[in-house]
Amino acid sequence: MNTIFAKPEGRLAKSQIVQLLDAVCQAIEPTETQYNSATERYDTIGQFLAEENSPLRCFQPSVYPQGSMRIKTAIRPDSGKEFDVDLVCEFKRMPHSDPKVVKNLVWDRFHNSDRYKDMAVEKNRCVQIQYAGDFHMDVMPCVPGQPGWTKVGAVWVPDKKLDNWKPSNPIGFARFVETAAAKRPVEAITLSNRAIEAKAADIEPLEVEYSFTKPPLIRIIQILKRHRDEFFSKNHDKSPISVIITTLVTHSYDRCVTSKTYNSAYDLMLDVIQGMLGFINVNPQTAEVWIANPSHPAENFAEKWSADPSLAEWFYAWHRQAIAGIRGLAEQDAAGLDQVGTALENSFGTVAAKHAVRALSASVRDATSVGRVGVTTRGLVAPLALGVQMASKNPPHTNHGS
Amino acid sequence: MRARWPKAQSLNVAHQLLDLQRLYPQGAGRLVKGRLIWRCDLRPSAFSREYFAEIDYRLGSFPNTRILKPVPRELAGGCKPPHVYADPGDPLCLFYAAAREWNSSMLIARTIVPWTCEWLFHFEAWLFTGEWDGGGISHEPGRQLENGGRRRIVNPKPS
Repeated sequence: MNTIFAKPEGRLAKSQIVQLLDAVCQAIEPTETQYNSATERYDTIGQFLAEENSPLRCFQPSVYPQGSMRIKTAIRPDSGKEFDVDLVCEFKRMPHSDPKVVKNLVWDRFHNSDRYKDMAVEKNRCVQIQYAGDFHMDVMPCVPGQPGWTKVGAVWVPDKKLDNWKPSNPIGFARFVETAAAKRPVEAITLSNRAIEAKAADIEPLEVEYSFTKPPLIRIIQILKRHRDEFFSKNHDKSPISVIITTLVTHSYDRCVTSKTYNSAYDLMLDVIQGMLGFINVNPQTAEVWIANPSHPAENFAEKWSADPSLAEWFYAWHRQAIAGIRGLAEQDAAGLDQVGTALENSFGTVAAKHAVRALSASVRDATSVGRVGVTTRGLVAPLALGVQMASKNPPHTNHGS
Repeated sequence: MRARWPKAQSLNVAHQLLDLQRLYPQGAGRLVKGRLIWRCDLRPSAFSREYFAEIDYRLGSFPNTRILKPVPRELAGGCKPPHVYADPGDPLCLFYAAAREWNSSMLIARTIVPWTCEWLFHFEAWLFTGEWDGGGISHEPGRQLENGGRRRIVNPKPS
């Protein structure tokens, strides 16, 4: 199959794919308002658990986010518009050595209040507070991990099914992702040179090599989670859990940005996704798959894969499809931007795909209106800052007519 | 005495053709009794089809731009594309004549042609989204397209 990257305009095509995928993420992630509203609500929950007449007050509870809300990789679930907000309620002082008692303390506090009793539902490891049409808050009670059990920062969580404490490390896991996300990819020499040239010409290089509007690691995780949701839309049971995707992508990203250089965010993205599989450990004797929790290595995120080997097969099938889907965006062989839209739709859903193509169209309109677009001799519409030989600038104008 | 700008000089069609040939060498044009007909392959993005466009221009009138192949209306399943005039061949509405965005002192190769490429880009996006995000003004008096107006910076929000 031909790839459009073989052509001189390949660099622009790559940056436009990144632009489209970035817009996909913007369409499916919580808005700033939603993040703020979630924060406001968990602050309220935190105050409610710790307020003066609360029986939990003496155990010094503190409520903070964990998981995708903490590392900002949250995406809207496929089925509806409700986000899951995972919260930790950590007691600084151990309320009781029995996990059931600790879990019940939190449950009773919600259940006995006028405010939350109709919204609270008990789950295996948390109490879920349901805000209709908005989001769920999963409040996971826990106590500080005891010395000798796990590393610093670890906590114990009451597990109803196990009827025991289960170790966890939500802050440690978030740090694992945040530390990697803060590492920026090293640009290949050619790119740096072009950036310097662009600077000399008083043009902002960012517009040339359109990159993600959030750290690339965060965007890659979101893109894959969304692709997974579409892929498993009729087969939820076989879907890999988010923490597996997040862990593998983070390891791979860390290795890519510390050992290689890249010409574009697109190249980085594909390399990171391809490299994910290298961080799945398979025991050669037992064939047991092991994806360690980086903040608590004794925990295997792929524990369920041993009981149901088809989960591994589904994972690999999905992974191949994700790479094919992203590559496919560039392999339309000049079939049309509308065909790219259809390919995006197949991978990421209709709403996200439409938003992405509209955003790309609008960005060309906006760049034209400030005189930053030109066309090449073949008619390619491109930012002037791209550094490609232009036939003409594209003067601002107004499309008239219905 | 009030200073006056000299009236912009009209460019003759031969001048226009020379500039078109220089900037887009793959195109081909001819002059017939003061009329310029120029045809060219244009591909507005790496993802796009290659379109065969024709510009028909006679001094004293506005350039008439049509897409000969593939026919936009056919790609749109028979629907009229946005921003075309209600004339045979769906000539493209590329500028606002009333605001004098184009006059005969301007080079077609540096105005009409890039505007055509941009129209094609937004057209392909429209084929998928059903929304025109290229900006512009509607023919119907007093009606502005959503996100219209070339100076407004508006990004579509997720629905």
